[in-house]
Amino acid sequence: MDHSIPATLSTQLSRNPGLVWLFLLLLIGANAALSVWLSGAMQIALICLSFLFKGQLVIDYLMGLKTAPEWIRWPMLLYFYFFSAILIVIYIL
Amino acid sequence: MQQAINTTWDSRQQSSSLESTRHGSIAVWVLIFAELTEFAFFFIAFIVVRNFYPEEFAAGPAQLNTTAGLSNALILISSSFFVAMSLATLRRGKIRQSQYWLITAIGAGLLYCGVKYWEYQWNAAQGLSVQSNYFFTLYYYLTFNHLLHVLVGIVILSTSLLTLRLGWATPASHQGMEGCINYWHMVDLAWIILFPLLYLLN
Repeated sequence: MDHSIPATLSTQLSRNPGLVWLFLLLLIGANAALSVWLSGAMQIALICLSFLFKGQLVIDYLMGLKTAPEWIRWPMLLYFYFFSAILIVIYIL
Repeated sequence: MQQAINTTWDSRQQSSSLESTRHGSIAVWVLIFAELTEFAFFFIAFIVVRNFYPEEFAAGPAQLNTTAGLSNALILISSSFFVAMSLATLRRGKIRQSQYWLITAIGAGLLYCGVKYWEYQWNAAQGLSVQSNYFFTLYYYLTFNHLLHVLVGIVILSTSLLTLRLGWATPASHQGMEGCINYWHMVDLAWIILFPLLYLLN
């Protein structure tokens, strides 16, 4: 899970919070577009995966928890992994 | 030998205390985890009720004003960036810049409240209310609860701004401000799940 963002990109994001912001804005826009253009299982899977990615970006780079103690970072990340997984399962099955 | 051991121990103690202050106090994290647990129960309630009334929950998102939800998502994520920049500039010793970023974040929070007010007015004009059906009951409960958290966050950020202006938060010591900023990020994280749950997934 730690390697979901490639190392080179991760370094760039750590150095440049503006890039994280841009990514997040694009992801939110893409989310809204996906809900219009796609439907069914594909729409749900992509929307859930994108909010998982948004959560990780905020937690690791805007909150700066990438270097935080594990007892802070992991519960935060697991929250997003849990809800994206549960929504995919419930909405698709 | 004893001196060397003491020096190593002291440096470990120092680095550990620096680490803990860099990410805010434990008390704030307990509060944040408690708030996230509260939101988790709401999300689970939404998912459970959806299973009993699938038609209402399938039709619900299409009746909402997606533009308002999308605008608020963009506003909150931007405010998260603004508070992160406020903390980053404070750590670099640029107190004036830090204040400007914090004021921008508070402005974004107020804008969120304005958009939410307009959205509730729009819903009322469409004849949508808490009593329309179970989807809207939960929609109003979740979004109003989130709005209350945003209002608390605005008060907390304003307090942080005051501590900056009074010189109580400094580049060397700003643990309280870190806690306030982490609370604001938590409010944003809750909306990251709420936005697709209410407006997009159908």
